[in-house]
Amino acid sequence: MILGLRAFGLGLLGLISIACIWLAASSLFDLPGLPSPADVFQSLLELVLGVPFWLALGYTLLSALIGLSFGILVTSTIALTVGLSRTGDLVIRQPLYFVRALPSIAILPILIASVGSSALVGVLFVTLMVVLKSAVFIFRAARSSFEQAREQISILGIRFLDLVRFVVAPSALRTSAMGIRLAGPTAYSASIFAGVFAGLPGLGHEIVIAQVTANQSRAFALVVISGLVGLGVFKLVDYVEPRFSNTNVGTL
Amino acid sequence: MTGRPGLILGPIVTGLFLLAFFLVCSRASNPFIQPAWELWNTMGRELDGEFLLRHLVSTISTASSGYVIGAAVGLILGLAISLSQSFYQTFYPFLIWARATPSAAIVPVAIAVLGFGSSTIVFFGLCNDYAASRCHDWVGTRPN
Repeated sequence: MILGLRAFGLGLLGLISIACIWLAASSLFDLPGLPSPADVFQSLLELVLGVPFWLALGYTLLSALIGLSFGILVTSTIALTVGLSRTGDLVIRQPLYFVRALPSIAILPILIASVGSSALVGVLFVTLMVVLKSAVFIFRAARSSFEQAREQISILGIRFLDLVRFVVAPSALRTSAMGIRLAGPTAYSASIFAGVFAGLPGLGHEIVIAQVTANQSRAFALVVISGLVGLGVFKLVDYVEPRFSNTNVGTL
Repeated sequence: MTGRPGLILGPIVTGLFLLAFFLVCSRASNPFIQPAWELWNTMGRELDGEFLLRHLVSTISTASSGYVIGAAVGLILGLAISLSQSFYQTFYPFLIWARATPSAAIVPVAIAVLGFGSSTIVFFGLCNDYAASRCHDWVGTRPN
């Protein structure tokens, strides 16, 4: 209890210290883009009391969730079909490694130019980022599960589709959990990214609007909130991942 | 099972389909998706000039500066966090928050404060280094 109070007190002290440094920086240096912590705190309160902020947050989380679901679905489908063979693995892996090495900020303009700037391109971008983040883990999981299981086919006489459905897919889920864990925060970051650079409705877009209207304190408040929501996403995937990891029902 | 034709043919057909789509798609279908040879020709033209080299050097030098500064800051903070329980309890919540904040969210705010230019880009490099949190992983343990 005392240790918990001490940790809480020190954490609070850290936040106050940072606020003091921030206050000193905004007061001493002539930085027009740096509002004072008090202004940011006031904007933060105004934000959370207003409906538009919650709508923006909802859009961000929804687009991240849709992108995450599509991304995992696409990656799993490819991994459980093409990726099960060595040839398929080789065909996919090399281009994948190349695309993974591309900075996301370089991909987005091409995506906008190809599809147009809309909510769709934002979701597509989130999906692509999730695919690139999770693909290596899910491919590896599916392939290693398949390699282990296929020797049992001739012995047990299981059909190929049944093998994939009842053995490979559930067993691969455990190893894929790490990829899905990484993909969650990636989806959230990509959703913010698409909001800032592609106009996807949500927190990212709100930050840009606050910036364009020279409302610095609001922009800072949104950044603070985006970090807090990011923490929540981290905690959520930390909670969900073990549930995936423990569903190793496919071991023969 | 290793010789299952579907598992071999499927990837090859998919790969050939994607290759064919990439090769035959024209400006008529989408002006921004270029055929493969157009990309090749453009790369050839750009590589001939000093355009690519100039921007490559600029990008690498900025990225290196951001990386070095970020790594140095991360190393110092990471060591302090790992060696001192009080320092860890004081600043770790903030650093975890900083790590959870998407770097794209910081971009507009950083540009407003620092202005366009190298300092902003170096700052992004520093942010992307996940400073102390990443370094905390390198150092390995924190005090109990």
